[in-house]
Amino acid sequence: MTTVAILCGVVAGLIVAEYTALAPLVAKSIMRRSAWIYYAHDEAVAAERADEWQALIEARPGNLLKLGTAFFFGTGALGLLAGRAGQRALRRPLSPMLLVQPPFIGSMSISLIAFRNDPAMASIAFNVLAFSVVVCNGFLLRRKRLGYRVQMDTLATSAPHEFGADMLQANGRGLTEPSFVLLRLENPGLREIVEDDYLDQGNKTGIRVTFPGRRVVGITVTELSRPNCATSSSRGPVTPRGMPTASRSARTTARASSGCLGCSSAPVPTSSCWCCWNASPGTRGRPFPSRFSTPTSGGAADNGSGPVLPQARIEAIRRSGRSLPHKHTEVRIWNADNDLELILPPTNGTRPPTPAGGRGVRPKRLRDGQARADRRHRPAVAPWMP
Amino acid sequence: MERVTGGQLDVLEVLLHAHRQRVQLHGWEIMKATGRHGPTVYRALDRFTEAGWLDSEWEHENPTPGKPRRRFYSLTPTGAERATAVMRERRPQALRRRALPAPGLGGTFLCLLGVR
Repeated sequence: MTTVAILCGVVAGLIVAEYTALAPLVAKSIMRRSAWIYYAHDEAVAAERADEWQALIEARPGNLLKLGTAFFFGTGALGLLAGRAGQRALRRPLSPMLLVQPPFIGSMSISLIAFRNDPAMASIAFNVLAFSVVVCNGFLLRRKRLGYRVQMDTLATSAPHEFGADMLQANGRGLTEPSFVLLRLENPGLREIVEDDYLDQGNKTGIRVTFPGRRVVGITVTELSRPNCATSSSRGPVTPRGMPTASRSARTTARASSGCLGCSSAPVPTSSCWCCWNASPGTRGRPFPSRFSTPTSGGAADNGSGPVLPQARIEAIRRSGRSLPHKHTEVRIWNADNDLELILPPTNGTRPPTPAGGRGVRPKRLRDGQARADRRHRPAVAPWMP
Repeated sequence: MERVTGGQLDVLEVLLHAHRQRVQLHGWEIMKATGRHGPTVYRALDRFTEAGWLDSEWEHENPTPGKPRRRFYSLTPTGAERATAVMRERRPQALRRRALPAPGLGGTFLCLLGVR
Protein backbone atom coordinates (compact mmCIF):
# COMPACT_ATOMS: atom_id res chain seq x y z
CA MET A 1 0.00 0.00 0.00
CA THR A 2 1.46 3.28 -1.02
CA THR A 3 1.61 6.42 1.01
CA VAL A 4 -0.89 8.05 -1.27
CA ALA A 5 -3.40 5.27 -0.63
CA ILE A 6 -2.95 5.60 3.12
CA LEU A 7 -3.41 9.36 2.97
CA CYS A 8 -6.51 8.94 0.81
CA GLY A 9 -7.96 6.53 3.36
CA VAL A 10 -7.30 8.90 6.22
CA VAL A 11 -8.79 11.85 4.38
CA ALA A 12 -11.84 9.82 3.38
CA GLY A 13 -12.34 8.79 7.00
CA LEU A 14 -12.13 12.40 8.13
CA ILE A 15 -14.65 13.46 5.50
CA VAL A 16 -17.05 10.72 6.56
CA ALA A 17 -16.61 11.74 10.20
CA GLU A 18 -17.24 15.37 9.36
CA TYR A 19 -20.42 14.75 7.41
CA THR A 20 -21.93 12.09 9.62
CA ALA A 21 -23.11 12.11 13.23
CA LEU A 22 -20.35 9.75 14.28
CA ALA A 23 -17.86 12.39 15.47
CA PRO A 24 -20.32 14.33 17.67
CA LEU A 25 -21.53 11.09 19.20
CA VAL A 26 -18.02 10.02 20.07
CA ALA A 27 -17.22 13.49 21.35
CA LYS A 28 -20.27 13.56 23.61
CA SER A 29 -19.41 10.13 24.95
CA ILE A 30 -15.87 11.25 25.75
CA MET A 31 -17.14 14.40 27.43
CA ARG A 32 -19.64 12.51 29.56
CA ARG A 33 -17.03 10.03 30.73
CA SER A 34 -14.53 12.79 31.33
CA ALA A 35 -16.98 14.69 33.52
CA TRP A 36 -17.50 11.67 35.69
CA ILE A 37 -13.75 11.21 36.00
CA TYR A 38 -13.05 14.87 36.77
CA TYR A 39 -15.75 15.13 39.41
CA ALA A 40 -15.73 11.59 40.76
CA HIS A 41 -15.80 12.94 44.31
CA ASP A 42 -19.25 14.47 43.87
CA GLU A 43 -21.87 12.72 41.77
CA ALA A 44 -24.20 15.71 41.63
CA VAL A 45 -21.49 18.00 40.30
CA ALA A 46 -20.37 15.31 37.87
CA ALA A 47 -23.89 14.96 36.47
CA GLU A 48 -24.19 18.74 36.11
CA ARG A 49 -20.86 18.98 34.35
CA ALA A 50 -21.74 16.10 32.05
CA ASP A 51 -24.86 17.96 30.93
CA GLU A 52 -22.97 21.22 30.63
CA TRP A 53 -20.22 19.68 28.52
CA GLN A 54 -22.80 18.09 26.26
CA ALA A 55 -24.08 21.58 25.59
CA LEU A 56 -20.53 22.79 25.09
CA ILE A 57 -19.95 20.17 22.40
CA GLU A 58 -23.20 21.16 20.76
CA ALA A 59 -22.11 24.80 20.73
CA ARG A 60 -18.74 23.91 19.22
CA PRO A 61 -18.95 24.32 15.46
CA GLY A 62 -17.58 21.60 13.16
CA ASN A 63 -17.94 17.89 13.76
CA LEU A 64 -14.22 17.18 13.70
CA LEU A 65 -13.57 20.16 15.93
CA LYS A 66 -16.05 18.73 18.42
CA LEU A 67 -13.94 15.61 18.47
CA GLY A 68 -10.81 17.68 18.94
CA THR A 69 -12.29 19.55 21.88
CA ALA A 70 -13.41 16.29 23.46
CA PHE A 71 -9.91 14.93 22.96
CA PHE A 72 -8.45 17.57 25.28
CA PHE A 73 -11.01 16.79 27.97
CA GLY A 74 -10.34 13.08 27.51
CA THR A 75 -6.57 13.35 27.80
CA GLY A 76 -6.96 15.47 30.91
CA ALA A 77 -9.21 12.83 32.42
CA LEU A 78 -6.73 10.09 31.59
CA GLY A 79 -3.98 12.05 33.29
CA LEU A 80 -6.18 12.42 36.33
CA LEU A 81 -6.82 8.67 36.38
CA ALA A 82 -3.09 7.97 36.22
CA GLY A 83 -2.45 10.33 39.11
CA ARG A 84 -5.12 8.66 41.22
CA ALA A 85 -3.65 5.25 40.45
CA GLY A 86 -0.29 6.47 41.70
CA GLN A 87 -1.85 7.79 44.89
CA ARG A 88 -3.60 4.46 45.49
CA ALA A 89 -0.28 2.68 45.08
CA LEU A 90 1.23 4.97 47.68
CA ARG A 91 -1.43 4.13 50.22
CA ARG A 92 -0.82 0.39 49.98
CA PRO A 93 1.26 -1.25 52.69
CA LEU A 94 4.94 -1.66 52.08
CA SER A 95 5.75 -4.88 50.34
CA PRO A 96 8.46 -6.95 52.01
CA MET A 97 9.76 -7.91 48.57
CA LEU A 98 10.93 -4.39 48.04
CA LEU A 99 13.08 -4.48 51.11
CA VAL A 100 15.25 -7.24 49.69
CA GLN A 101 15.73 -5.58 46.34
CA PRO A 102 19.37 -5.10 45.46
CA PRO A 103 20.65 -1.58 45.83
CA PHE A 104 20.49 0.53 42.73
CA ILE A 105 22.27 3.71 42.01
CA GLY A 106 21.15 6.27 44.50
CA SER A 107 18.99 3.80 46.36
CA MET A 108 19.43 5.31 49.80
CA SER A 109 15.79 6.24 49.95
CA ILE A 110 14.47 3.19 48.19
CA SER A 111 11.79 2.59 50.80
CA LEU A 112 10.35 6.00 50.07
CA ILE A 113 9.67 5.37 46.43
CA ALA A 114 6.13 5.64 45.25
CA PHE A 115 5.91 2.16 43.79
CA ARG A 116 5.85 0.50 47.13
CA ASN A 117 4.01 -2.61 46.20
CA ASP A 118 5.65 -3.23 42.89
CA PRO A 119 9.36 -4.04 43.04
CA ALA A 120 9.67 -4.25 39.28
CA MET A 121 8.26 -0.78 38.87
CA ALA A 122 10.47 0.45 41.69
CA SER A 123 13.58 -0.86 39.97
CA ILE A 124 12.55 0.67 36.69
CA ALA A 125 11.83 3.96 38.39
CA PHE A 126 15.20 4.00 40.11
CA ASN A 127 17.06 3.18 36.95
CA VAL A 128 15.20 5.93 35.15
CA LEU A 129 16.00 8.28 38.02
CA ALA A 130 19.67 7.35 37.99
CA PHE A 131 19.82 7.78 34.24
CA SER A 132 18.14 11.15 34.57
CA VAL A 133 20.68 12.25 37.14
CA VAL A 134 23.52 11.21 34.85
CA VAL A 135 21.94 12.98 31.91
CA CYS A 136 21.30 16.10 33.96
CA ASN A 137 24.81 16.12 35.30
CA GLY A 138 26.53 15.36 32.04
CA PHE A 139 24.46 17.04 29.42
CA LEU A 140 22.03 19.51 30.89
CA LEU A 141 24.36 21.01 33.44
CA ARG A 142 27.17 20.65 30.93
CA ARG A 143 29.74 19.79 33.56
CA LYS A 144 33.22 18.71 32.60
CA ARG A 145 35.55 16.77 34.76
CA LEU A 146 39.25 16.32 34.85
CA GLY A 147 40.70 14.00 37.43
CA TYR A 148 44.09 12.74 38.43
CA ARG A 149 45.55 9.98 40.51
CA VAL A 150 48.94 9.55 42.07
CA GLN A 151 49.41 5.90 41.46
CA MET A 152 52.94 5.66 42.78
CA ASP A 153 55.42 7.93 44.57
CA THR A 154 58.55 6.19 45.70
CA LEU A 155 62.29 6.53 45.93
CA ALA A 156 64.26 4.84 43.19
CA THR A 157 66.45 3.33 45.84
CA SER A 158 63.62 1.55 47.56
CA ALA A 159 64.10 -2.17 47.82
CA PRO A 160 61.41 -3.26 45.38
CA HIS A 161 62.61 -0.78 42.81
CA GLU A 162 66.34 -1.17 42.89
CA PHE A 163 66.75 -1.11 39.17
CA GLY A 164 69.86 0.95 39.07
CA ALA A 165 69.22 4.30 40.61
CA ASP A 166 72.86 5.14 40.10
CA MET A 167 72.29 4.86 36.38
CA LEU A 168 69.98 7.85 36.38
CA GLN A 169 71.62 11.08 35.44
CA ALA A 170 70.76 14.54 34.23
CA ASN A 171 73.10 16.62 32.09
CA GLY A 172 75.78 14.03 32.64
CA ARG A 173 75.56 14.24 36.41
CA GLY A 174 74.20 11.60 38.67
CA LEU A 175 71.07 12.13 40.72
CA THR A 176 70.89 11.89 44.44
CA GLU A 177 67.91 10.18 45.95
CA PRO A 178 65.89 10.05 42.78
CA SER A 179 62.25 9.32 43.13
CA PHE A 180 59.61 8.15 40.73
CA VAL A 181 56.04 9.24 40.49
CA LEU A 182 53.36 7.63 38.41
CA LEU A 183 50.68 10.19 37.70
CA ARG A 184 47.46 9.48 35.92
CA LEU A 185 45.41 12.25 34.38
CA GLU A 186 42.04 11.29 33.09
CA ASN A 187 38.73 12.58 31.94
CA PRO A 188 36.07 10.75 33.95
CA GLY A 189 33.30 13.04 32.76
CA LEU A 190 30.82 12.65 29.98
CA ARG A 191 32.06 15.47 27.80
CA GLU A 192 35.28 15.84 25.98
CA ILE A 193 37.70 18.43 27.24
CA VAL A 194 39.05 20.42 24.35
CA GLU A 195 41.89 22.86 24.10
CA ASP A 196 39.53 25.81 24.40
CA ASP A 197 38.55 24.62 27.85
CA TYR A 198 41.98 25.47 29.19
CA LEU A 199 42.34 28.93 30.58
CA ASP A 200 45.66 30.05 29.29
CA GLN A 201 45.38 29.27 25.61
CA GLY A 202 48.40 31.30 24.66
CA ASN A 203 50.51 29.09 26.83
CA LYS A 204 50.61 25.49 25.70
CA THR A 205 50.71 24.26 29.24
CA GLY A 206 47.27 23.40 30.47
CA ILE A 207 47.87 21.80 33.85
CA ARG A 208 50.83 22.05 36.13
CA VAL A 209 51.84 19.83 38.99
CA THR A 210 54.55 21.14 41.24
CA PHE A 211 56.87 19.17 43.46
CA PRO A 212 58.12 21.29 46.33
CA GLY A 213 61.60 20.34 47.32
CA ARG A 214 62.05 18.24 44.23
CA ARG A 215 63.23 18.89 40.76
CA VAL A 216 61.60 17.25 37.76
CA VAL A 217 64.30 15.91 35.49
CA GLY A 218 62.45 13.57 33.21
CA ILE A 219 59.09 12.45 32.12
CA THR A 220 57.67 9.82 29.86
CA VAL A 221 54.14 8.86 28.98
CA THR A 222 53.74 5.20 29.66
CA GLU A 223 50.11 4.81 28.77
CA LEU A 224 47.97 6.78 26.42
CA SER A 225 44.42 5.64 26.04
CA ARG A 226 43.74 7.63 22.88
CA PRO A 227 46.28 8.45 20.21
CA ASN A 228 44.91 11.95 19.80
CA CYS A 229 45.99 12.79 23.35
CA ALA A 230 49.51 12.96 21.98
CA THR A 231 49.92 15.71 19.47
CA SER A 232 53.67 16.04 19.48
CA SER A 233 56.67 14.15 20.66
CA SER A 234 58.80 15.59 23.39
CA ARG A 235 60.81 14.28 26.20
CA GLY A 236 62.16 15.58 29.40
CA PRO A 237 65.62 16.97 29.86
CA VAL A 238 67.01 13.71 31.15
CA THR A 239 67.44 10.36 29.56
CA PRO A 240 68.59 7.78 32.01
CA ARG A 241 71.07 5.35 30.69
CA GLY A 242 69.34 2.29 29.39
CA MET A 243 65.93 3.87 29.60
CA PRO A 244 63.99 3.91 26.36
CA THR A 245 62.90 7.34 25.35
CA ALA A 246 59.24 8.15 25.46
CA SER A 247 57.85 6.62 22.34
CA ARG A 248 54.32 7.77 23.02
CA SER A 249 54.82 11.10 24.58
CA ALA A 250 52.11 13.65 25.00
CA ARG A 251 52.85 17.31 24.82
CA THR A 252 54.20 17.14 28.27
CA THR A 253 57.22 18.99 29.50
CA ALA A 254 59.24 18.92 32.62
CA ARG A 255 60.80 22.04 34.02
CA ALA A 256 64.00 21.04 35.60
CA SER A 257 64.54 24.22 37.49
CA SER A 258 61.17 24.70 39.09
CA GLY A 259 60.17 21.22 40.09
CA CYS A 260 57.09 21.68 37.99
CA LEU A 261 55.52 19.22 35.63
CA GLY A 262 53.51 20.89 32.91
CA CYS A 263 50.93 18.93 31.00
CA SER A 264 49.85 20.35 27.71
CA SER A 265 46.42 21.74 27.00
CA ALA A 266 45.68 18.80 24.77
CA PRO A 267 42.16 17.51 24.18
CA VAL A 268 41.14 14.82 26.61
CA PRO A 269 38.33 12.66 25.26
CA THR A 270 36.02 11.01 27.71
CA SER A 271 37.32 7.90 29.45
CA SER A 272 40.84 8.63 28.34
CA CYS A 273 43.94 9.16 30.38
CA TRP A 274 47.62 9.79 30.48
CA CYS A 275 49.97 7.96 32.74
CA CYS A 276 53.20 9.81 33.27
CA TRP A 277 56.37 8.51 34.79
CA ASN A 278 58.20 11.30 36.42
CA ALA A 279 61.75 10.97 37.60
CA SER A 280 62.69 13.63 40.07
CA PRO A 281 65.55 13.86 42.52
CA GLY A 282 64.72 15.58 45.73
CA THR A 283 64.42 15.52 49.42
CA ARG A 284 63.57 12.18 50.83
CA GLY A 285 60.30 12.01 52.65
CA ARG A 286 58.65 14.82 50.78
CA PRO A 287 55.18 13.76 49.80
CA PHE A 288 53.82 14.12 46.34
CA PRO A 289 52.25 16.38 45.32
CA SER A 290 51.63 19.09 47.82
CA ARG A 291 50.60 21.47 45.11
CA PHE A 292 48.35 20.85 42.15
CA SER A 293 47.88 23.95 40.12
CA THR A 294 46.34 25.05 36.90
CA PRO A 295 47.11 28.17 34.95
CA THR A 296 45.07 31.14 35.90
CA SER A 297 44.06 33.97 33.67
CA GLY A 298 46.99 35.88 35.02
CA GLY A 299 49.27 33.08 34.03
CA ALA A 300 50.51 32.52 37.54
CA ALA A 301 51.11 28.90 38.13
CA ASP A 302 54.78 28.15 38.05
CA ASN A 303 55.48 30.25 41.04
CA GLY A 304 53.12 28.19 43.09
CA SER A 305 50.29 30.64 43.37
CA GLY A 306 47.71 28.13 42.21
CA PRO A 307 45.36 26.18 44.41
CA VAL A 308 47.06 24.31 47.17
CA LEU A 309 46.04 20.82 48.05
CA PRO A 310 47.78 19.47 51.08
CA GLN A 311 48.88 15.91 50.81
CA ALA A 312 46.76 14.96 53.78
CA ARG A 313 43.65 16.11 52.04
CA ILE A 314 44.53 14.41 48.79
CA GLU A 315 45.10 11.16 50.56
CA ALA A 316 42.05 11.54 52.72
CA ILE A 317 39.84 12.02 49.73
CA ARG A 318 41.56 9.43 47.65
CA ARG A 319 41.46 6.80 50.32
CA SER A 320 37.82 7.36 51.06
CA GLY A 321 36.98 5.71 47.78
CA ARG A 322 34.59 8.43 46.73
CA SER A 323 34.61 10.85 43.87
CA LEU A 324 34.26 14.13 45.64
CA PRO A 325 34.71 17.64 44.41
CA HIS A 326 37.61 19.44 45.89
CA LYS A 327 36.92 20.92 49.26
CA HIS A 328 39.59 23.51 48.89
CA THR A 329 38.04 26.91 48.39
CA GLU A 330 40.40 28.04 45.67
CA VAL A 331 39.82 24.92 43.63
CA ARG A 332 36.07 25.19 43.99
CA ILE A 333 36.15 28.80 42.89
CA TRP A 334 38.25 27.81 39.93
CA ASN A 335 35.77 25.04 39.12
CA ALA A 336 32.86 27.43 39.24
CA ASP A 337 34.56 30.04 37.13
CA ASN A 338 35.59 27.64 34.40
CA ASP A 339 32.80 25.09 34.28
CA LEU A 340 35.42 22.48 34.84
CA GLU A 341 35.56 20.24 37.82
CA LEU A 342 38.63 18.69 39.30
CA ILE A 343 37.84 15.57 41.18
CA LEU A 344 39.78 12.78 42.75
CA PRO A 345 38.36 9.48 41.60
CA PRO A 346 39.09 6.43 43.70
CA THR A 347 42.26 4.88 42.48
CA ASN A 348 42.45 1.34 41.26
CA GLY A 349 46.20 1.45 41.21
CA THR A 350 48.70 1.28 43.99
CA ARG A 351 47.94 2.74 47.35
CA PRO A 352 50.30 3.78 50.07
CA PRO A 353 50.48 1.51 53.07
CA THR A 354 48.35 2.39 56.03
CA PRO A 355 50.60 3.10 58.98
CA ALA A 356 49.85 1.56 62.28
CA GLY A 357 47.54 3.74 64.26
CA GLY A 358 45.10 4.28 61.46
CA ARG A 359 45.81 7.89 60.59
CA GLY A 360 47.52 6.89 57.41
CA VAL A 361 47.08 10.00 55.35
CA ARG A 362 50.65 11.22 55.34
CA PRO A 363 53.58 9.04 54.33
CA LYS A 364 55.96 8.29 57.10
CA ARG A 365 59.33 9.91 57.29
CA LEU A 366 61.93 7.23 57.06
CA ARG A 367 65.50 6.98 58.13
CA ASP A 368 68.30 6.78 55.62
CA GLY A 369 68.43 3.50 53.82
CA GLN A 370 65.07 2.38 55.04
CA ALA A 371 62.76 0.99 52.43
CA ARG A 372 59.98 3.45 51.97
CA ALA A 373 57.54 1.57 49.90
CA ASP A 374 56.11 -1.84 50.17
CA ARG A 375 55.25 -4.10 47.33
CA ARG A 376 51.97 -2.38 46.68
CA HIS A 377 53.86 0.63 45.38
CA ARG A 378 55.36 -1.35 42.59
CA PRO A 379 53.84 -0.59 39.22
CA ALA A 380 52.39 -3.43 37.34
CA VAL A 381 54.46 -2.75 34.24
CA ALA A 382 57.74 -0.95 34.05
CA PRO A 383 58.89 -1.38 30.47
CA TRP A 384 62.31 0.12 30.96
CA MET A 385 63.24 -1.84 34.04
CA PRO A 386 66.23 -4.10 33.47
CA MET B 1 -6.47 33.75 46.35
CA GLU B 2 -2.87 32.60 46.61
CA ARG B 3 -1.75 32.25 43.03
CA VAL B 4 -3.53 33.05 39.79
CA THR B 5 -2.05 31.36 36.75
CA GLY B 6 -1.97 32.73 33.25
CA GLY B 7 -4.95 30.69 32.11
CA GLN B 8 -6.95 31.78 35.11
CA LEU B 9 -6.04 35.38 34.42
CA ASP B 10 -7.35 34.98 30.87
CA VAL B 11 -10.63 33.60 32.16
CA LEU B 12 -10.85 36.32 34.76
CA GLU B 13 -10.23 38.98 32.15
CA VAL B 14 -13.03 37.67 29.94
CA LEU B 15 -15.44 37.37 32.83
CA LEU B 16 -14.60 40.85 34.07
CA HIS B 17 -15.34 42.40 30.72
CA ALA B 18 -18.55 40.42 30.48
CA HIS B 19 -19.50 41.68 33.92
CA ARG B 20 -18.90 45.27 32.83
CA GLN B 21 -21.03 44.76 29.75
CA ARG B 22 -23.64 43.02 31.89
CA VAL B 23 -23.65 39.85 29.86
CA GLN B 24 -23.34 36.26 30.89
CA LEU B 25 -21.10 33.74 29.16
CA HIS B 26 -21.36 29.99 28.82
CA GLY B 27 -18.42 27.61 28.73
CA TRP B 28 -17.82 27.53 25.01
CA GLU B 29 -17.87 31.32 24.76
CA ILE B 30 -15.28 31.58 27.51
CA MET B 31 -13.12 28.98 25.79
CA LYS B 32 -13.45 30.83 22.49
CA ALA B 33 -12.65 34.20 24.01
CA THR B 34 -9.65 33.03 25.98
CA GLY B 35 -8.29 30.63 23.40
CA ARG B 36 -7.59 28.16 26.17
CA HIS B 37 -8.38 24.47 26.25
CA GLY B 38 -11.51 23.25 27.97
CA PRO B 39 -9.90 21.62 31.01
CA THR B 40 -7.94 24.79 31.72
CA VAL B 41 -11.03 26.95 31.51
CA TYR B 42 -13.15 24.69 33.67
CA ARG B 43 -10.41 24.33 36.25
CA ALA B 44 -10.39 28.11 36.52
CA LEU B 45 -14.19 28.26 36.70
CA ASP B 46 -14.21 25.68 39.49
CA ARG B 47 -11.61 27.58 41.41
CA PHE B 48 -13.36 30.93 41.11
CA THR B 49 -16.69 29.36 42.02
CA GLU B 50 -15.23 27.81 45.15
CA ALA B 51 -13.71 31.16 46.08
CA GLY B 52 -17.11 32.81 45.78
CA TRP B 53 -16.07 35.03 42.89
CA LEU B 54 -18.32 33.38 40.37
CA ASP B 55 -21.98 32.58 40.08
CA SER B 56 -23.66 30.35 37.52
CA GLU B 57 -27.17 29.61 36.35
CA TRP B 58 -28.75 27.26 33.83
CA GLU B 59 -30.85 28.66 31.06
CA HIS B 60 -34.46 27.51 31.03
CA GLU B 61 -34.33 26.32 27.46
CA ASN B 62 -31.86 26.48 24.62
CA PRO B 63 -33.05 28.89 21.94
CA THR B 64 -32.17 26.27 19.34
CA PRO B 65 -34.76 23.51 19.50
CA GLY B 66 -33.39 20.10 20.41
CA LYS B 67 -30.16 21.43 21.91
CA PRO B 68 -29.23 20.89 25.56
CA ARG B 69 -29.41 23.71 28.07
CA ARG B 70 -26.34 25.82 28.67
CA ARG B 71 -24.87 27.08 31.87
CA PHE B 72 -23.97 30.76 32.10
CA TYR B 73 -21.33 32.27 34.33
CA SER B 74 -21.01 35.75 35.79
CA LEU B 75 -18.88 37.41 38.42
CA THR B 76 -20.40 38.16 41.79
CA PRO B 77 -19.96 41.72 43.12
CA THR B 78 -17.20 40.50 45.43
CA GLY B 79 -15.63 38.57 42.58
CA ALA B 80 -15.73 41.62 40.34
CA GLU B 81 -13.92 43.69 42.97
CA ARG B 82 -11.29 41.03 43.53
CA ALA B 83 -10.91 40.39 39.83
CA THR B 84 -10.40 44.09 39.18
CA ALA B 85 -7.75 44.23 41.88
CA VAL B 86 -5.97 41.20 40.47
CA MET B 87 -6.10 42.53 36.94
CA ARG B 88 -4.90 45.93 38.03
CA GLU B 89 -1.95 44.26 39.66
CA ARG B 90 -1.11 41.68 37.02
CA ARG B 91 -2.47 43.02 33.74
CA PRO B 92 -3.30 46.69 34.02
CA GLN B 93 -3.37 47.10 30.25
CA ALA B 94 -6.06 44.44 29.93
CA LEU B 95 -8.57 46.57 31.81
CA ARG B 96 -8.69 48.91 28.83
CA ARG B 97 -8.03 46.48 26.01
CA ARG B 98 -10.37 43.60 25.63
CA ALA B 99 -13.86 43.85 24.26
CA LEU B 100 -16.03 40.79 24.06
CA PRO B 101 -17.17 39.46 20.72
CA ALA B 102 -20.79 40.02 20.02
CA PRO B 103 -22.89 36.91 20.36
CA GLY B 104 -23.90 34.94 17.31
CA LEU B 105 -22.35 34.57 13.89
CA GLY B 106 -21.49 38.23 13.65
CA GLY B 107 -19.47 38.04 16.80
CA THR B 108 -17.67 34.96 15.57
CA PHE B 109 -16.87 36.72 12.32
CA LEU B 110 -15.51 39.74 14.17
CA CYS B 111 -13.52 37.46 16.41
CA LEU B 112 -12.01 35.72 13.39
CA LEU B 113 -11.08 39.08 11.94
CA GLY B 114 -9.37 39.98 15.18
CA VAL B 115 -11.86 42.76 15.92
CA ARG B 116 -12.94 42.33 19.50
